[in-house]
Amino acid sequence: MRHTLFQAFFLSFILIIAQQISSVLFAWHIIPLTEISLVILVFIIALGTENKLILLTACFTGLLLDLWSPSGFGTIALALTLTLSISIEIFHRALTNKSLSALLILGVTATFTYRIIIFLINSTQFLKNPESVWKALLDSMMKGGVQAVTHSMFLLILFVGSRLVSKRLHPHYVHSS
Amino acid sequence: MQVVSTKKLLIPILVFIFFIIFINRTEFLGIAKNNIIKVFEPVLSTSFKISQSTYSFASNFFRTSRDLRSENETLHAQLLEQTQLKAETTRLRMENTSLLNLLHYTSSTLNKISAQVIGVGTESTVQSLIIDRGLNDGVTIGDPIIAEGGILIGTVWKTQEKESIIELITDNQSRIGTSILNKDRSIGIATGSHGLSVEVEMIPQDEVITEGDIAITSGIEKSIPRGLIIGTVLSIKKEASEPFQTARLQLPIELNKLSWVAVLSQ
Repeated sequence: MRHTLFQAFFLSFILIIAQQISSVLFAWHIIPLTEISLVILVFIIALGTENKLILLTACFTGLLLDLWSPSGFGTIALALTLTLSISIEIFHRALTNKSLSALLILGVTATFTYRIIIFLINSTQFLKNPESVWKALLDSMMKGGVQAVTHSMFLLILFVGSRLVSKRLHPHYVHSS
Repeated sequence: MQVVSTKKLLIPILVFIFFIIFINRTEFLGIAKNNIIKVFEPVLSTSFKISQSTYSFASNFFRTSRDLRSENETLHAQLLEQTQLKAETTRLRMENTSLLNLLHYTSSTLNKISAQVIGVGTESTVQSLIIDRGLNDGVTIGDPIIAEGGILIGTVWKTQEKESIIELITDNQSRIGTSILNKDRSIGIATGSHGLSVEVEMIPQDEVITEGDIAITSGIEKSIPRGLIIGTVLSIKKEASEPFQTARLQLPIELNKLSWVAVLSQ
């Protein structure tokens, strides 16, 4: 357990640096086009990593990202952990063939799940201004659409890269495991 | 294929997160958070600066010579216009100073606190930046943030001991009382448009706005003084069936290239 905790801390550290770099490098105006931490964690699911490590990393990464988040403390940690647990369930129940399409479906689902959870957690702010809820929802989904495309591109790069160096995402690995 | 359940793992993790949220306001967690921020700040700030420089280099590299030529022509025209404006401003400033002296007017009571941009907010649903000034420096929620030249870029959304998070004016939830410097001195509300630009809403249909008119803060909010520049009118959206028209603004600066800003604190 201690080993897993250490690994999760280390991964979280790497992920928040990656997130900060990607927020600037892959931004259009000031809009971050990628939630790189989400993309990497989704990819780690597809690699067949231990669930405990994925969920702990999601929790620690979320709590660290919450330190610099405009939303209430805990929002990203909750959203990231719930999104990843849903993604793990989907991946192990429905998308078992480890193909590129399965990975992309998982990426798109995780992107929209994450945005919906964040939107629901932040929805209390619309109590003061209920008429803005639809505009905010539309905006969030539009950005979600853009993010789904960029996340898919990143997953494609990671998929191709990993196939060159590892056998984990080859179909025969699934059969043998 | 074995179905792996995450329920057993998820419940203790969620309990842990809720516990952290619950004790968030206690002093103990405040100290822990500040220490973590202190450890991460140099890493965050360095990675932000490196990626900002890389972004600037890449965006300049991919510009074509045609873009540069057209930008040069625009800048020449603007320079000529600015020279004329400068002469006019100098005359008005002298006139204003003598009038203010007559009225014994003391200028704004707001303090300017310079701050460095050290990162981008970690949540992509809100357009935000992180600055290295916080509660210890006198920054409070709602304080306006300006860039060089008195250009409003946003307001303080959240403060911590040594850092603050700014909500940019391009964010959808941002609302700033605005005055357009046209013949009618139209007033409206500047709101972010999908994080890309700013639109001034609620301008009465009968008032005449033209492209190039300057939009400034109206001073209706207690913490935001009148006269901070928001942008210039780029286009106007007017529909006969609507009681109000909307002006789309062009921002005078690129928000993703900001390094230094100033907080106007009470």
